[in-house]
Amino acid sequence: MPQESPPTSLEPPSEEQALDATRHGEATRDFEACLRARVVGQDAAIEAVTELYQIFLAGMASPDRPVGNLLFLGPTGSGKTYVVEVVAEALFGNPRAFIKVNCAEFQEHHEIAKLIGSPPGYVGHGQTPALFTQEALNRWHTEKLKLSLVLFDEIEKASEALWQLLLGILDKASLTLGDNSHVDLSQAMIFMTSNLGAAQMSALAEGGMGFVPHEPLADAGLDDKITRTAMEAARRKFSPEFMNRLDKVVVFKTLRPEQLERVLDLELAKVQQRIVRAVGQSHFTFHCAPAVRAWLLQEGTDPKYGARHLKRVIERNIVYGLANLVATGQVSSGDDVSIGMKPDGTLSFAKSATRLSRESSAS
Amino acid sequence: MKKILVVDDNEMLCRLACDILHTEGYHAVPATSAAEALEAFEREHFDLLVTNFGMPGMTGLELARAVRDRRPQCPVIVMTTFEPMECEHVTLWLPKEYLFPGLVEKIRHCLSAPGVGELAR
Repeated sequence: MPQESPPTSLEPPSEEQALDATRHGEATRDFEACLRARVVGQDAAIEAVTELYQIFLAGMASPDRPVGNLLFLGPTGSGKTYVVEVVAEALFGNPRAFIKVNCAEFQEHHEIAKLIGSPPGYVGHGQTPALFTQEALNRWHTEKLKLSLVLFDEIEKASEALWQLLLGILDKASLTLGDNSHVDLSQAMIFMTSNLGAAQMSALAEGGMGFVPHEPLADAGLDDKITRTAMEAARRKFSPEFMNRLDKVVVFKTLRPEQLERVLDLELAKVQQRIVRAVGQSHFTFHCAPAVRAWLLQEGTDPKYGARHLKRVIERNIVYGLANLVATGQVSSGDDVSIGMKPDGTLSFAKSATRLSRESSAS
Repeated sequence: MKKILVVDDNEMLCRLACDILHTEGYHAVPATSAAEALEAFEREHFDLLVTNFGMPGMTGLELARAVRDRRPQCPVIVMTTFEPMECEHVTLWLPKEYLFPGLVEKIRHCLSAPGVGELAR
C-alpha cells in the first residue's frame, strides 16, 4: 500500500488548507449578536460566554466538569447579573431561566440545607425541599438545547459550607443532596459574581478618597486600575484552589457617558416594546426630548452605582406618567406622546399629531 | 408571588397596569369586564382585586360586592375618576389621576397589613 511521504519542509500550508480556528458557528454567531445587541460596554464578558457556548455546541466540553466556570468581578451597577439574564433570554427566551443562588442568604453553616435539603437524622429531613435538584436544573432544557445556567451571586458572602459545595461543583460538576441523590452539573454553565474591592473601585471611579475632590482618571487608565484592584482583591480573598478552577475571570468596566447613552436607548426601547406587547396593534408611541434624556441619565446613573437605578427612574417618571395619561383618557391608541422638560424641572407630556393620522396622510 | 386581578374595561390601561405590576414583582392578571373577573375568581385564587369603578354592565362596586360574598377577606381597591364613597366592600379608593405610583403603594399596603381586608367592614 503506497504511503504518503512526510512533508519535507516547514512551509505554511497553502491557502486551500488553511483553517480558521477563531471562526464561530452560525448558532454561536446569532447568540453573540443577541448579547451584543443588549449588553453595552462589556465585550470581555460577551467573548468569554460566547467561547464557552461554542465549545458546548461543538460537544468539546469536558464531560466531568461544568461547561464553564466564570467569575464576574466589577463595580456594582456595571451589569454582572444582567449579562446572565441576557444569556438566559438569548438561549431560552426568558431572562429568569437560570438558578440563582444569592450567597448572602447562606452566610450561616446550617443555611446550606435550604440549598441541598436537610440530611437524614436532621430536623427538616424530607420536609425542606432542596433548591438545587436535577429537575430544577433541567427545567429550561429544550429538545435542541440541554444546557443549564447557574448563578452564584456575591460569592464573597458565602459560608465555608457553601464554599466547599461550590468547589465540588466547579471541579467535579457534581452535588450530593441531603437525601443522598446526586445532581449532575456537567451540562451547566456556572456564573459567579463578586463585588470584591467595590469600595476601592468606587473610590477610583469617583476620583479618589478624602475631603479634597480629585479628578477622575482617564478612561483607559481607570479601567486598568479597576481591573488590577478587582483581581488583587479576588486573589487576596479566594483560595488558589478556587481560582484554579475558573475558566475565565472577567472584570466589568465602568460605563462611559456614550455607553450610558446606549443603555438609556435600550431601556427606552424596552418600554416601547412593553407598550406594544401589552396593548398590541392599538399601541401608542412616545419619544423623549434631549433634555429629558439628559435628566434621566443624571438621575439614573452615577459613578458609584453605574446604571443600576436607570430602570427605576424610567419606570417612575416615564412609564407611570404614560399609564396615568391612559387612565385619564388623555392618550389612546395611535397617539404619539412627546415628553419634554418644563422650566421648573418637571416632565411635560404632550400629544403630537396622532401616529395613525400621520401614517394615513402620508399614504 | 402575590396574585392580583386587575379589572378595567379600558383594555390598554388594564394591560399596562398589569405590566407595571409585573415589574414590581406581582403576578397580575387582566380582565376587561366584571363578568370575566368573576369567572377568573371562580377558577383561581387571587390575593387582591383592583377594579375600575365605572364599567358597562356590572360596575366595580357590584363586582366588589360579588367578590366579597365569595371571599370576605379579599382586599379590594377601586380606581375612579369620581369622589370616593362609603362602601363596606371597598378596602381603598384610588383616584385615576394619581394611579401611579399610588396603585403600587396601596397594593403594597394592602398585602402587607394583616387583616386590612377587614378595615372597611
